[in-house]
Amino acid sequence: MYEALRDLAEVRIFTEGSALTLPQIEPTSRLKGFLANPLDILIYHWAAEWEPVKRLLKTECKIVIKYHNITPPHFLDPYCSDFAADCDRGRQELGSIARSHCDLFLSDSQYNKDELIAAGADESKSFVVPPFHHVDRLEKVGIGLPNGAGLANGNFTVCTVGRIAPNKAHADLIAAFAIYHYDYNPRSQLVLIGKQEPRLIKYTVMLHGVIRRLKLERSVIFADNVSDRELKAYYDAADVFAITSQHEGFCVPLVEAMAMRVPIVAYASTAVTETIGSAGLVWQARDPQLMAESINAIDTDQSLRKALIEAGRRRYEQHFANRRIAEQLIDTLGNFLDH
Amino acid sequence: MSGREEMLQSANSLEHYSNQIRLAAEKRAKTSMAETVAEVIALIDAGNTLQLMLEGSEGLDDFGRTSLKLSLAPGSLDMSRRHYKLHELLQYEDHEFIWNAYRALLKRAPDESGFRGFLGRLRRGERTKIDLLASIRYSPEGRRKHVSIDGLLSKALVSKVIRSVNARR
Repeated sequence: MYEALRDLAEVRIFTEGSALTLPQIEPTSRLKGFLANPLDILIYHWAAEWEPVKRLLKTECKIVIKYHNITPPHFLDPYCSDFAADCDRGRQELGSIARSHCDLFLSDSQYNKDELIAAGADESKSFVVPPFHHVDRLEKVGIGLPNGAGLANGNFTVCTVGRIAPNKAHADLIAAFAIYHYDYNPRSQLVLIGKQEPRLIKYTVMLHGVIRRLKLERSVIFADNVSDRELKAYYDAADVFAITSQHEGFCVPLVEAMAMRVPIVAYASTAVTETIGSAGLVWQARDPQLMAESINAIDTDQSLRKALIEAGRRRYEQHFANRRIAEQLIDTLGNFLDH
Repeated sequence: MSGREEMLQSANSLEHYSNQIRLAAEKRAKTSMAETVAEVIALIDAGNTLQLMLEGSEGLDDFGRTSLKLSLAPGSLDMSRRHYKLHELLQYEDHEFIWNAYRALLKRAPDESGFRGFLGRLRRGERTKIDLLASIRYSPEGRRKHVSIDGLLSKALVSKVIRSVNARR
């Protein structure tokens, strides 16, 4: 977003915590001085509870909410009650932010937009603008896997990307992969790419338990903290991108998979369905047999594989390339400023 | 062909493939693996995950085992308090120190980037435990939580002066 807007206006990024080590990013303590003019625009990226937002919403400048969604706490509660409580507080703000006097609500997806409107946001001020992503950066870097990445050359590779968190329902994917691995293709592997959080260690450990119970220790690989080069190498090695997540506000990895020409199979859920559109196999039923059969079809039917890859790449270029997203953002902000 | 026509054709052809896949899945006989999978999913859906966690913990490395131990039993420190003595926090080491510092000062478990960042600086000797407590306590989030620790500020200032003198040398 910074890249898209910086030629049009002076843009500054404010945050708290570890992201402050990045260039061009300033602490939120300097925010108030920056927003002295009623013509300034604050774009608040909302994805978690943040107490000072209540004060920020009372500033004189124009306020745009960019809603990325917040994980519903019931997914997290069995594994980390602190984390669930954080998300619960964040979601409790939904009504007050939606009903506040914000000038514009930008949502990553129709799913997020509907949630905001249901919470009281003014529909005439609500628009969908997909999130920016790092595909341009991925396209530029080379590929490189670390030593000990554990990928077996020549094996059919199913991958998924996303933090290791309970709303992603990784166990459902491992279960479907187990059927595929044992009943269709023993020369196959599943790579779970995503950050593992210490506070969700119980969830990660539970997944290891599922893997042991299904005797998949040698065929399921976790890839934590991957670099751009590593991520690109995993996409390059992947034959299928599979996702069984139960809650997504958009799902950027789907866009990466489309751009990287990896065919997609998914269970329908939240914003997953609309992000994929008609560029992947999407199942309403959470049926591991159906998921395994889909993976097998992508492996064995070259025409299906080709159709999915082409549909994915086309959807990426038509809807989700950063330049397209920048056009949508600038159009929406432009219309808003004209009124 | 226009973009819309292409999308329509792609949706129609996917529907055709989906029907074939659904039929093939229905025809396929249920195997013993499918039954085992159903049992595991039923366990998770019912919330009976403790046995799976125990089985999963066998393959953990040192980092994972410690995080699990702290997650299951975060220690004797009462995180609901608003006031601590410095030695209560300094008694812990390594992972356990960071974990308890977060819980005491921010009233939450550590996030991934904060946990790894602080642990790395502590292990490399770039920061002392006092420095890290001060970083957490006087971060914007720490200021909002406003937990007090006897003697932290003076010791953190001394540590900062020593660090800046050493850096000049």
